Amino acid sequence: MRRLTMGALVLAAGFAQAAMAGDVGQIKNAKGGVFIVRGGQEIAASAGTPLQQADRVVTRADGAAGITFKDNSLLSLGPDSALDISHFSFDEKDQPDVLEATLHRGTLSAVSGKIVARTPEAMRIKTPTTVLGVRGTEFFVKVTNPDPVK
Amino acid sequence: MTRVGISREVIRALALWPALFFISGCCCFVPAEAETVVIVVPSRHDGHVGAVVVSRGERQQLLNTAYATARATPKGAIRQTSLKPRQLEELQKTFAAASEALPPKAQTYILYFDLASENLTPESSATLDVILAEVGKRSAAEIVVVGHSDSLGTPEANLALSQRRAERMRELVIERGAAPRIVSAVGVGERDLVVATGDEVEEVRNRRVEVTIR
Repeated sequence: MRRLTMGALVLAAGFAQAAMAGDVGQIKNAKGGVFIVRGGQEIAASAGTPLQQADRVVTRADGAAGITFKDNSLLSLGPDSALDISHFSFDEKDQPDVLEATLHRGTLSAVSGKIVARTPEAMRIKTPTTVLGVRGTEFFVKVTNPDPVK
Repeated sequence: MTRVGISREVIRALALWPALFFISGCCCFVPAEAETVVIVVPSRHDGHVGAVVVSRGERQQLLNTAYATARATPKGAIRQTSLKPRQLEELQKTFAAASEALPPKAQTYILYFDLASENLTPESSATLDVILAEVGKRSAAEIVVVGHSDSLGTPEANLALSQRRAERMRELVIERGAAPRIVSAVGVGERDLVVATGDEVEEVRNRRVEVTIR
């Protein structure tokens, strides 16, 4: 178990080394248990871990995580939260800017960035019951979800 | 003894009347259906109050005042409320951990170059120290360098010049101690002028490099 955790940490450190073209942002703050689920694998996350589209960021009961996206949007999670980075595109040729994230459960704090400054509502937060079109700037979201989401 | 008796009664009541249990006890438990709460707050950076449109199917609710709050369950209306002071306190507790984890806002600095050169003006050299100090304050800082030129000269030559300026800036911040892997540098030539000019115009404010720390 211990070895497994260490392996995951080494893996996360490896990701932190190279900022790749597919990266959409980075974990800047990680407190307590913070993980990324990518392609079915769970990766322990720490400050500097890059994020990609389709990643799920999960915090444990003692966890909290802060993310900065490439367009300078800021999102952070409180404990017991799960957020999918469903769709992100910024400054890509022939593609509209978009930041779409899905909060399955937990608490979210958000400050919009350049994507919303250019195109209001190009940032969307989906929850089990709603879609939030963001025109700016700072807001909080809480999702209480009786259906367990891993 | 009496206590045990009562609790047995309660247990029996729960078993016999689940509906009654639901009505009286549901507020103490996780709700049976998903709920979303959204609150627009003044920006911690400049106090600005933005707006969020909460939608579910055809129903929409615009939140565009400080502490405007919407609650939405899978069915029924999206309820909008404004918070009382006591509720504001609760709100602060609920979102404290998330709010504290929010990364600091990205900062952008603009540095200028002498005409047709990769040398910074003296004022901009001083800005380099400010940039490095900001990097030191942050957790997992990234330095994003974007080079620009004015419109004097061909677009191709200006693209190359802006790339050299961005690359020079990358070297400068690395010389001063920034880890190479956190620094990225690109040049965009004359296609993003900060002062709109015609072609072939010498303009010091366009001969710049933007350095964003995030």
